[in-house]
This record gives sequence, structure tokens and C-alpha cells, in this order.
Amino acid sequence: MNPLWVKCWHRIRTVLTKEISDHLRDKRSMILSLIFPLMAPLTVALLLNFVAGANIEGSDGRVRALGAAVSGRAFAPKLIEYLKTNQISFVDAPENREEREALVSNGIHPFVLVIPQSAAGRELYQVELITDRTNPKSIAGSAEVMRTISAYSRIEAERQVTSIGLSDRIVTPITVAQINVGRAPNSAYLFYNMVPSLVLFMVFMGAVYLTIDTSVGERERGSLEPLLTVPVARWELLLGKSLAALLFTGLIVAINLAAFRASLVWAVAGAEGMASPPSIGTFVGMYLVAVPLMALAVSIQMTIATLSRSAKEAQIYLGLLPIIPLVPGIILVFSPVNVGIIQSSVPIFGQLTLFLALIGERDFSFLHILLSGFSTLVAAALVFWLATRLFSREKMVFGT
Amino acid sequence: MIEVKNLHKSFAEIHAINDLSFEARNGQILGLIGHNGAGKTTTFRIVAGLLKPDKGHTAVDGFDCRSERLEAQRRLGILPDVRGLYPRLTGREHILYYGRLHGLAGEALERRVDELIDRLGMGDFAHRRCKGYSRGQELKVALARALVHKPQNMIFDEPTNGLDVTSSRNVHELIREMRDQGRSIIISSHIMSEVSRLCDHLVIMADGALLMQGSPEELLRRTGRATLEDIFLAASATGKEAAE
Repeated sequence: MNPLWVKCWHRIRTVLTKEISDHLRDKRSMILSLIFPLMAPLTVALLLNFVAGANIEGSDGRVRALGAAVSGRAFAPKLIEYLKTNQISFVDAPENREEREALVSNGIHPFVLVIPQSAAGRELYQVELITDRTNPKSIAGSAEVMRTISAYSRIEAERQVTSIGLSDRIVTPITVAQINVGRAPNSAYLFYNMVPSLVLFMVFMGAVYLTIDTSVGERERGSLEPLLTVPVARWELLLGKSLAALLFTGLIVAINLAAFRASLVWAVAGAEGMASPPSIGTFVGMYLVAVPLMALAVSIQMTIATLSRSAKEAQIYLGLLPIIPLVPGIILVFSPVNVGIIQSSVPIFGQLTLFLALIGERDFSFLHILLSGFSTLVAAALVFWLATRLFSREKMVFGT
Repeated sequence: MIEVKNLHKSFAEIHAINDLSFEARNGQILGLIGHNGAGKTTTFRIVAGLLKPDKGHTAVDGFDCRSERLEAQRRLGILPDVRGLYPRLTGREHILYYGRLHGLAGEALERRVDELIDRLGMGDFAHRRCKGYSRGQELKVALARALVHKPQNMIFDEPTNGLDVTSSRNVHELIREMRDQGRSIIISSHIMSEVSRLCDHLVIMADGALLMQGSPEELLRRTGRATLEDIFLAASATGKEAAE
């Protein structure tokens, strides 16, 4: 190795080691920064656990209508039997209408099926479904009951038309055969799909406090001025500080991903019908994909902190930084795009689409990984160069 | 040797330095004197490579402080008026950090750090974190940090501010010792007794410009004043008049 590079690395490592040991000693900040990445995983896991506990999906992926009540069971025994064979069973509801409605509005039963006496012995009749549209269990369960009753109604109609010699196709002239190329629907996926955006948030917020403290914070303490009088190039000082921030970001994102995996496993443990969380391999893959993005995030943080006149100002600007990764997420939600070479090469966007592919167990190309990583590292280097230019300004000494 | 030639520096509308020239020779202690805002710290910052002059030239041992900044900084030790310590590092770690940044390492660095701790009487607190240090203790750490690489040229901004009598005397001895070793030293101080005891040459500034320079005896003779304090007060008044 070139002795010049050895000397450079010696200086960069000196700054890096100092910043790490300095910040490891700041126990309060360290504890808070290690708790911070646990917050989102715990929140998502608690919500998922609540949904899993509600247990509205069966192992076949169909929504269950548990706790449903029926009034007038005896007036349509065939319908009740059909619903039972479709795993929808009922407890008896009171005869009084007000009492039935109160049971639903108080959440004791998610909904009540009311079969009127006029349905007895008839082929054409109407049933009522008392629901509460503010209760998710009521919405999901009653929708499943309505689908099942519609299926029963179609079977009955087909039976009646064939009994008079007509084709049963008259009842349903157009039929749809749905072919799902994705995974079987499962409400757990909704929660698993939240992970990429939340991990991106952590990438951009993980070591913000350290970046502020080592740049504008150092100026406010008065320790920057003597530091700038040592014979070390500004880019070496800034690289040492940035590498310290990068290591902390790496640690915090690793904790975040590990916490997601552990808490999601806990959330669905023993819950029937909930899809298993993404594998450990998926989370390791996400971490590796996120590494170039961490470099970009730290470069952006360092640039903003170097531009800020005070630590307080830097906190305000850097608090807004996670909006950046939100933009591609919103684009993907409202306008899903095919990920080609150009899209893969857009920093943040490339990583987010890879995250979603990993979480969704979809195929992606090695070129996608290569392009997103390379373009993001180039962007990180450019932003770091800008930060170095800003760090070399006279204003860096005074902060005005 | 530290050279300052025809130096100019402005901040927006304010002329901080206006055609300032002087030389701090090897084996000499130069006192840079002036009222608050006279431009002393700005001059130090230009020599230290922190600020770019609008016009003029500064050099340390012949190395231009702007175009050959790193070479100039290698030959310079600075004690700034703001000590700027890291509260979670010990005094010893501060000296080691700066030593490593100056390219020192291993046993040689450890020996140098021990020598400075001993020389500046820091043994009682050097292993403690800096949070809670007295001003005198902070100053000693900053001083040791500036001296760790045995620079040929030194700038001391208020070198005994906050020190007790014994420690001040220690620092004075150290500065004289460095002068006797042939080093070039600039000090800035508001304690005129310190300036008269230590300095071989004085540069008196007002409003960024040079008012007069010479040895203390020469200045007393030229101005007809009894003490340096009288000269300083007269210089401050002159500066204010000029400003008005």
C-alpha cells in the first residue's frame, strides 16, 4: 500500500476511533439511540398481534365470521346448513330488535343475521344483516357472510331454473375465473409490507444525533477551531466523522431489522391463518441492500449539519430528512411502475423496490442490486464531496 | 519564524485587519497587544490557516499559511482563547488525540504525553474526563495539546487566563524555555505585567492596523510613558478615535 494512503488512513482512523469512543461514553444518548430502532418493530408487531388475536382468517385464507348471531334460524334451515358447511356458524340472537342492535353496537356480536318468519317455506325471501361499519371484525365477517349467502342464492336460482328445463347458465351468463399470480391473500402481508418504509426511515434517522454532534455541535462547543489547526485535510476529518456516523447507522439498522424479525415472529406465533414473517435471509438481504443507502444518508446528514448555523437548526432540517425516502414509497403506492434499468439506478427508489421484492418473495435481477448499489454509492460520494467543500468554508469556524 | 506581510481581511463592511505586517523571529517572544476587537484573534486565525486573507501573506517557517497550509500547520502549535475540550474525553486522551493527528504514535507519543502531564502539573486530573475541569485545568490540557508535536512556532492566546500564580509561573518558565530553544512565540495577553516580563518584542494593534512595534524598553522610551499599561490605554484610545 502507498505510504501516503497509510498516513491518510492513520489520520482518518484516529478521528473515527475518537468519535466512536466519545459517543459510546454518552450513555444517555446511546441508550436512547438503541431504544429508538425498537419502537417501530414493537408497534407493528403489537398491531399484528392484535389482528392475529382477532383471528378472523382461517388457515385457508378465508375470513371467518366468528361470534356471529342469528335470529330466526328455524325459518331457513337449508341456508343455515349451507353457511355451516362453509364454516360459518351462529349463536342464537334475541328476538327483540332493539336488543339485537344493541348487541352489535356494543361489540358483543360483530353482526346479527335476521331471518324473518315470512321466509319459512318460501324460495324467495329477504334476510337482514345488522352490522357495525366502524368495527373491522363486523366489516370483514359480514362481507364473508354476504358472499356465502350470494353463492347459496345462485345455487338455489340454478336449481330452480333447471327444474323447469332451462340451462343453469341463464342465472350467471358471465362467470369469472380469477388467477392469482401473487401470494395467497393474507392480512399479515399488510404489516410485512410496512417494514421497507420503516427501515428506510431508520436508515435516514439512525445516526442523526451523532452527525449533528460531530459537526455543528463541535463548532458550538468550541472544539472545532483547535481541531482545524491540525495538519489534517478537511476531507480526512469529515470522512473520519462520517465513518463513525455510518457505523452507528449500520448498528441501529441491524438492531431495527433484528427487532422486526423477532417481533413479527412473536406477533403471529400460534395464530392460525397468519402468514409466516419474512425469513432471516430476507432481513439479511435487506441489510446488505441498505448499506450503500446508509452511506448516502450519512453524506446528506453531514452536508445539512455542516450548512446549519446551530445544532438546533440542524435538528429541524434533519428531522425533515425522512421525507426523502417517503417520496418513492408514495410513488409506488399510487403509481406502481415496472422496475427497469433507469428506475433501479435511482437511489432510494432502487433500494425500496428491492426491499419490496424481498419482502414479497418476488424475483429480482442481480443487475438491479448492482445498479442500485453503484448509483447510490456514486451519489453518496458526490454529496460527501459537497459536504467537504462546505466544511472547508470560513463560515464553518464561526457558524454565521 | 512567523511572517505577516501587508495583511488585509474584511467581514462584510468591517475591516478586521488593515495592512498589518510583523515578524516573529526564532528565539523571540512577540507580544501582540490590542483592545478587544483590535484584530488579534483574526490574525491568529489567518496564520493558523482557518481564514483566508483578502490581501497579503502569512507564512510559518517560509510555508504559506494558505497554499501550503498543512506544512505550515505542522510547524505551528496554537492555544486558542476558546479551549474547546471534549467533555467525555480525559485530559490525557486529548493530548493523545492531537498527537496522533500530528502523525505521532507508539511509545514516543506515550512518553511525550507523560512528559507534558508532568511538566504542566496535570498528574492529578489528566486521567479524569474533562467535564467539571476548572478553567486552569482546561487551559493546561489545551496547552499540552498544542505542544504535543514540539512545534517550532507557537501562538498563545491568553496563555495564563484562569491559572493560579504557581501555574502561571510554570507556564511562563515553559514559554521562556521554548524561546531559549530557539522557537518563535507569539502571545496575546491582557495582563500587561505578563507581557512586560515575557516579551522581547511588542506589536500594538488598534482597529486591525499596526500602531507601533518594538521592544518594551524601546516603546517606553519612544512614547515617554511610564508603563506598558499606559501605552496600551493610549493605543486603545487612539484606536477608538480613529474609529470615530
